[in-house]
This record gives sequence, structure tokens and C-alpha cells, in this order.
Amino acid sequence: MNLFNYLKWEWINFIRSPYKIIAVVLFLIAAGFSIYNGYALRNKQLDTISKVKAIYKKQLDEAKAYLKANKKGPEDSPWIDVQTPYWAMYSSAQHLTKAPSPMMVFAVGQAEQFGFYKRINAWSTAYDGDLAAEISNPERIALGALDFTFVVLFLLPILLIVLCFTVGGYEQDKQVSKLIKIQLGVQSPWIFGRIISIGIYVSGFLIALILISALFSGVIAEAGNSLFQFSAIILLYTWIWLLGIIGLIHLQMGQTAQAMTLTLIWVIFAMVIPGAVHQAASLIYPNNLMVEFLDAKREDTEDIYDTDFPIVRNRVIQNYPELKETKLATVPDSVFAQNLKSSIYRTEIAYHMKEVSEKIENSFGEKNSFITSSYWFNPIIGIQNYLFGLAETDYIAYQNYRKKIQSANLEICKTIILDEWNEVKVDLEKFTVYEKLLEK
Amino acid sequence: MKAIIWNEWILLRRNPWFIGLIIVLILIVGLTSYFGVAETKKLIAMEAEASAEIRSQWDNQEAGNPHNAAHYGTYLFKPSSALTGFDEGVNGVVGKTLYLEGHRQNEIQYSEASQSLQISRFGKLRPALLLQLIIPLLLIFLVFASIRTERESDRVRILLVQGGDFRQILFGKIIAYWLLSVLFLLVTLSLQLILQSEKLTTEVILRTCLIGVGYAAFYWIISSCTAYLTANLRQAGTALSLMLACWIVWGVFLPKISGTLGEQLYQLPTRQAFADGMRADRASSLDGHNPEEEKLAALKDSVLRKYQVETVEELPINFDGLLMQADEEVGNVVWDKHFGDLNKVLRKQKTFTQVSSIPNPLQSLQSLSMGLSGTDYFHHADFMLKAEQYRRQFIKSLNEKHAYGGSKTGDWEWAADQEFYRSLEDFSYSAIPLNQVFNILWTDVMILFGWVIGGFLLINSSKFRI
Repeated sequence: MNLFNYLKWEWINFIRSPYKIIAVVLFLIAAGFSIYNGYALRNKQLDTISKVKAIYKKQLDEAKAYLKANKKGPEDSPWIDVQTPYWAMYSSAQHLTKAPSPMMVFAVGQAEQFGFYKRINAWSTAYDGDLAAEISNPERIALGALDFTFVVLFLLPILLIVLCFTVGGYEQDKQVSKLIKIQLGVQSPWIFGRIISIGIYVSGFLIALILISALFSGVIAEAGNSLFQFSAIILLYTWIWLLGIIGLIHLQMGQTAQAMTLTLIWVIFAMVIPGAVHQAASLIYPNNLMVEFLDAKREDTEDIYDTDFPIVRNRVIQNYPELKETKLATVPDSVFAQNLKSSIYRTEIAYHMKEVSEKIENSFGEKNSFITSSYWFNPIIGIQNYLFGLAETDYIAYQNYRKKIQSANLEICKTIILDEWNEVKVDLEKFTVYEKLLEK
Repeated sequence: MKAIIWNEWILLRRNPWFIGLIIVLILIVGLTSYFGVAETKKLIAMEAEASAEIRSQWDNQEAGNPHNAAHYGTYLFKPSSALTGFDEGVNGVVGKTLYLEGHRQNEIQYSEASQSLQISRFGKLRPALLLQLIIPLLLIFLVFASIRTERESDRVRILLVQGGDFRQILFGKIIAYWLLSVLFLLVTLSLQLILQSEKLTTEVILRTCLIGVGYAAFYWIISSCTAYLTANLRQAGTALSLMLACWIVWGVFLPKISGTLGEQLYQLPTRQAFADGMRADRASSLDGHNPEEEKLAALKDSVLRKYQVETVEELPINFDGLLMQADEEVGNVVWDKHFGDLNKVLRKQKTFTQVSSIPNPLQSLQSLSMGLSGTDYFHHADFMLKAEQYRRQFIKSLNEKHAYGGSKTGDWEWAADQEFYRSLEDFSYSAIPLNQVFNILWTDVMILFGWVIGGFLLINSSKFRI
């Protein structure tokens, strides 16, 4: 028999098996629904970002209007002076967003657990309340997102089990193995032929599904390379399962025992091992209540304020040697105005918060190292997180976003203090520089 | 029937593979119970330590203005329920740290899920996961294998010729395996109680017993459906395929689909839209044409009248404190409206998922299990509500001290002493009582009950077919 005959045989077999058709239809519904979910979530996030940016733009324009009119700010808030670096920076609506990648259509990942836009000022941190995740139903979030990655990594093996249900086991049960052996010499080519045919159909089906969705959602144009990698990994994953199924079929267990064993293998790799790793990780690294951060925000901040000005000033100069080049670098401490002193303390606090954040991120890093070290026996989750990485919807992508926020906060503090020490009066031109501060 | 049940157990006892499997499963169930409880105990200890630290910071703050103290605020750590070790529910995704301060209500933060890469799609290997998905799978295999062997070996004919009743044979087999699954249940739940004996209350014991009843009902459903299909479908493979399909659709497919569908049908606002709505309502309350502004003016007038003075500066009390409280109350009304709306949407979503679980008893069991373990959305919402009630009382005490503590209007330097701060009561949380939990979970109970009856009827309608 050649491959064409195998393909024909499997096709006939498929269209005559209602339960296989139902399984494919269910898989198709799940896949379609999951892709729609990803697409809808991405659009919702993009829409939210554009609305948020419009609000920021409005605030920015208001500040520009004050500067144009040579005003300090709104009349009912006399403490605001947009001509000073601090208030100018505050009014320049600095913000950072994490735009959803086009690949979110296929891998929602952990995107629903993190915030993706934040207005940043001199006091911002990466753990502020305004960086919380979007409002959602916690019971739904606990169940996890139904994304295409879930459908492929967790439901596809079940579809393969259903499609391969009759391969090998049927021949065994109906005792036609001998007949096949007489015709082909050995049974292996027959089994291989059937499984390869199923593999070809499934691969074609997956590619078609991905390509059609990618075309309609624009992923091909925007993230062709990631999409290619994503598809290649999915196909590889499919064929690894098929190889496993071939191995199992060679044990000649019969249809029912074969299906039971495959289901058990799926349960072990999809539920038991990931669940056990999850439990172990939580036991070793339990939910961080962030007390360290809370202490830094309140107690440490108070301690910094209680520290003598010259000490804090020296520390800040040590961290930012550029300050030595400013106009006020050589001015004695006693001459410093209160707002300039506040600026020094604020910068020191920002620097301290960055250090604390790094410490916290490192402790999370230990948990993540534990998780990644389990990938060799927890391969489905390993592949899943790689795919999430491709779609920039994994923890790492959001951690990088948090790091950017923390750095942006320091950049803002640094710019303010440098301009204050250079006695800069903010005009429209300077304000435009502020406006573009975080663009780089 | 007793003979059939006994006979099944003898057959199982003779199978060394089966005995091995049971021992392994009991070990796994035991270990998951142990680790689940160990993690919960660790969390409870961390929560207590963190709460004590935050409280000591509050108690040891220097004398200061009460309004500054309202901004300093305090933190609450959502306590883990005693049965979190059994079923984690939403606790892994909602965070535990809540900042309480004046003027605003914050969201609970720092969920465990946001602190690492995703580790699993079906949650931690907790007893609930084993009992909801793995034990039913085993039950499907065992009931199927038993009835199929009976049919294929034609022993069922001999039993019928000897005067046996086919339905009784089926009931006997179902009960035999159902009791086996109940054994796992008993081991798990007993371990839950034994391992945390120091935390045991009547409420916890009662909740545990009800969890047991819910799971036992589900096992009955699984056993009877498998028995019915295996006994009534000519091709044994089809019966197994159908039950496996049910298991997958019930356990993997439908919960995710219905959850997502519920969220799309009853949409929640985005955080930005929600914040904008709150901001708009608060802003409108400061509008000159708005009754809230009138309310503030009325407050000022009434206070001036009460103390028979012309200006707030002449008042023997600090009017700023009263204003802060009035502002707080405006904020509370806005919060009540918006969070009330949010809660309504979430309730609709819950009702949708509950009703959509009519064809999926496993989903009803999951909802029941979370609810009784005190880890579902309603318990979370209850904590948030009680925390907000505490925040209001807490801020009100500070504002009243600001107003009546001895300072005059405009005196922001006035300081309340440490004793006052220490005298403010700490937050203590008690979960929703069991009777109220049933107001929420009755749909799930009814669905499970309906399926149990359905299981009885199915088996009762079974006829032996050649």
C-alpha cells in the first residue's frame, strides 16, 4: 500500500465513524472559540490602551495650554506650577503601556493576570494598585483562559487518542493482525501508515486553522516569524504524541486497554505532573504577601526622611554623578530650598524602591527557576510557557514591563533633580522634551 | 445484592494490580491532603505574622494628625479558610493583600498566579483535583471493565437463569464501585480533619461532611451513567468512548466554555471605564448644582447652628474632620453603587455558569466544592465587603478624632497620641455562615440531586439485551 491508499483508507474510516466526526467538530468549536477569545482580548486591550492614551493626551494638552498662556496651572490648585520640573513632569502624563502582541490571538497566556497600562510619576512603583489586572470573574480566571495554546496542548492529544482509537487495537480485537502480517510481512508498516495518514490530516487541519485565523486577524503580517515558530512547535508536538501512540500500539493491548492507557498518559502529563509541580512550588515558595514592599513603601520611606539631608544628598550624588556638573552642585546644604531637598529625598526613595523591587523579583525568579527546572519531566508546561513567551503573554514579558516601569520612575526622578539643580524653568520646548522622555 | 457487591470486592482483591493501584492512589490522596494542608498552614502563619507586623507598625506610630494616619492606612491579609488545602478555588488568582486608606477603596493585590510562570492548567494537585477528575476516571474504567467482563463472559446469563435480576446486578456493581470511591473520599476528608485538628470547628466539620455528600453524589452519577451505557450499548468500546468523552467534556471543555461565554454575555467594565465612572460620579457630587454640594453646605450650616457660631474658625471642634467624613460618605455611596453594579454582573455570570452546568454535574460539584471550602467568589466578595465595612469604621474613627479630638478647624499640626491609635480595633474576619452559603449553592445542589435521581432511573430502565 502506498501513502495515498493509507490516506484514503483513513478518510473512509473517519467519515464512517460518527464519534470521530463529533470529536473533530468539538475540537474545531473549541479551537474557533479560543482563537476568537484571544482576538477579542487583544482588541479589548488595544481599545483600552487607546482610550487611556486619549485621556493622557488631554491632560498633556491642558498642561501645554498653561505653559502657552504663561500660567502656573489650574487656579483652584495653587500648589501646582507647571513651570517647575516636578510639576511639569507630573503634568506631562508619563506612561508606559504593554501593547498586546499580535500572537495573543493564539496564546492569551497569563495576560489576564497583569495590568498593561500605567501612568508614571516620581512616586510610582511596579507594584502600585493602578497596575492591577483588569476586572474579571475570579472563578473564570481560576479555570484558566481557553486559548488556542490550551486547545492544542491539552485537547489535541485527546483528539489524537480518539482518532487513533481503532489503529492497532481494532486489528488486535478483530484478530486481523495475522492477515496483515501475511500481506505485509510485518504489522509495523501498516500501523505506521495509518498513524502517518492521521498525522498528515491533523497537521493539515492545524495549519489550515492557524493560517486562516492568522490571515483574518492580521497576525501573519504583524508577527510572521513568531507565527512560524509557533506553528512549527505545534506540529512537532503533534508528531511527538503520534510517535508515543505508535509505541503504545506496538504493545498490542487491544482497543479498550489502548485507549485507557493513552488517557492515563494524558492525565499524568496534563494534570498530575503539572499539578504536583504547582503544589511543590507553592509549598516551597508560597504566595508572597509583599510585606517587604509594604515596609519599603512606608517604614523605609519614613527612615529615609528621618536621615540627615547631607547623608541622603551624598548617596544620591553617588548614584547620579551627573549631579556634580549641575549649577547647585557646590551650593552648601543650608542654602537648599525645601522643594530641592524634597527632590533629593524622593530620588533616594525611588532608588531604594528599585532595589527592593529587584530583591522581590529575584525571589520570584527563584520560584521560576524551580518551575523551569521541572520542564524535563513536565514537558507540556515547558512547551506551553515557550509558546506564551513567543506571544509575549508569559510572566517574563510582564516582568520586563514592570522593570521598565521601575526604570522609568528612576529616569523621571533623575530628570527632575538634574533640571532642578540646573535651575531650569520649564517652557513649552522643555516640556516637549519631557513628553518624549519615556519614548526612548 | 449484597452477594454481588461482596463478589465484586473479592474479585478485585484477587487482582494484585488493582490492589497496587488502590494503595498508590490512597498514598497520592494522602500526600496531596498533607501537602495541601501544609501549604495552608504555612499561609495562615504568614498571614498572621504579616498582620501582626502591620498592626505593630500601626500601634507604634508616633503621635500624629489622624488624617495623616488615614493616608498611612493599614493592610489586611485575606485569611485562608481551613479547607483551602482541600480546594483552593479562586484563592490562587485573587491576591491576599489589601490596602485600606482614606478617600478610596483599593483592590486586593499580589495574587500567587501573578508571581510566577504558569505552572498548570488544572490547578494544584489538591485533593479536589484528584477527587473531581482522577477518581471519576478510575470509576469509569472499573465499572466499565466489570460490566463488560460480565457481558463478554456471558456470566450475566447464568446469573439471570439462576433468578437474578439484571437491574439488581447493575445496582450491585454500581454500589460496589461507588463504595470504593467513597473510601477514597473518606480517607481524604478524614485526613483533612485530622491534619488540622487544632483548627476544627463544628462549621468546618459540617462543611467537610457536606463536601463528602456532594462528591459521593457525583460518584453515584458517574457509576450509574457508565453502568447504563456499558450495559445498554452493544459495542463495549462505544460505551467507554462515550463515558471518556463525557469526562473530557465535563471536566475540561464545558467549564472553560461556559465560564468564558458567561463573561462575554454579561460583560464587566474595563478597569479604566470603571474608574472613569467612579470619578465622574464623584466629580458630579462636587458640582454646584449637585445635591451633594448642598449636603456639604447643609452640614456646615447645621454645625454652625448647633454650636451657635458664625464661622468654622470659631467652632470648638475641627470642621475639617467633619468635612473629611462627609467626603468619605460621598465616596462610600459612589463605591456602593459601582461595586454593587459590578457584583450584579458577577452574580449573573455565576448564575449563568450554574445553570449551564445542567448538562454537566461536574461543574455543579466544582461550584459546590469551592463554596463549601470557602474559596469561591462569594467568599472572596464577602471578605472584600467586610474589609470595606471595617475600612469605613476605621476611617470614621480617625475623622471623628480629627473633628472632636481637641483641635480647631485648619489646625493640621494637631496630633492624636499613640494611645488613640492603639485603641482602634483590629480587623477580624469570620466567613459566611453555612446557611447563607446554601442560598448561593442551592442551584448546584438541585442539579446534582436531579442527576442522582436520573442515575437511579437510568439503571431502573436498563434491560438485558442479547
